[in-house]
Amino acid sequence: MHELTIAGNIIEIVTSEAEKSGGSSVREVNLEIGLLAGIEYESLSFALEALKKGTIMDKASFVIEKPCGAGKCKNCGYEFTIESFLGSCASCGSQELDIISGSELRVKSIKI
Amino acid sequence: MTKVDHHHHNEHDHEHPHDHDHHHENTAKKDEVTVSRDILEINNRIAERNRGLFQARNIFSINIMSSPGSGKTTLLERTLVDLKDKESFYVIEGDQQTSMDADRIKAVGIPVLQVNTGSGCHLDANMVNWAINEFNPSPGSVVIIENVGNLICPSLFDLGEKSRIVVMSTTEGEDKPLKYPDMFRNADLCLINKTDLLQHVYCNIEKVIENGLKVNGRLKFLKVSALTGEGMEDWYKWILANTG
Repeated sequence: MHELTIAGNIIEIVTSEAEKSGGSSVREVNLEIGLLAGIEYESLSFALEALKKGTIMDKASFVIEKPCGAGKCKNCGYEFTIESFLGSCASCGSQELDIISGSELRVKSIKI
Repeated sequence: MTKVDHHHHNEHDHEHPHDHDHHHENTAKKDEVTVSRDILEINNRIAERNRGLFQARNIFSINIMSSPGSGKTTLLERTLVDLKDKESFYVIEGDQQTSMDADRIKAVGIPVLQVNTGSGCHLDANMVNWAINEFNPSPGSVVIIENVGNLICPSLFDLGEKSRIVVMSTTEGEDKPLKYPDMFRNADLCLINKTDLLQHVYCNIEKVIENGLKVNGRLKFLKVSALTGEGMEDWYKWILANTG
């Protein structure tokens, strides 16, 4: 249930950004949470809904963009989509992959 | 979503009359604030601070993670008894509740701090930072962090450690690296504990290693029994090789 910590961090980041912009109420929070980031989306949404009460995000909706996983073979440089950390390069068979997409954990933007 | 081209709005080099209203577009733009901040930035910033302190004092720091009951504390107890004359150790114990683990380490005569995470399922960099400040560990020492027993959550949180170790026991089954890839993917060393039980439980260790390597090709494995001491020498060699 580390999603609770993640949700707490999101609330903290959005609060500080909204205050910096002089906004009194946030209506939308845009997040980027990759499919390989190790986050259970339902748990995160549940935690965000629970934690937003009484904050500047009380009426905000949380929009989660979910970038797909992509890997790059360390051996031959081939880039391809992946659904998990398992698997091997579709081109040369190597199991040494760099994750180039899918592990994102970002607050992208907010609407005030 | 409709794509709106705002280009001409800034240039104004065209002649046609402006009969459309740009006002709503400006408002929409002004309302949206680009944030682009990493959700884990606060943890990662403190982790870097911890890492800096460890490096400055030439401290070898280890983050030990596993599911509950894999034998982390028993492994530590034996390790500390056997190596305490060779290295100077500090132990940070993470648990949801109780100081039972810290009491066991204290009994060995090693400085230890218990961090209770309450509802939290993992240690974070700030908790470790607190413990480091309390310890003020001496240069050249070894700081061992025993994380909360959990094979999922702790893997996401950088504590500033030099090495990550995942302990799995022979009773857990050979499929664990595949079921919990995040944990095994980020580890440097996997200790396969409770080898003394191999005659009673079905666990194909070669399969464990094969599955671990599927998730993390650079993962190293050591087979140990913290109870009988079998294989522990290799683990000690690994620690001593890192402390130089």
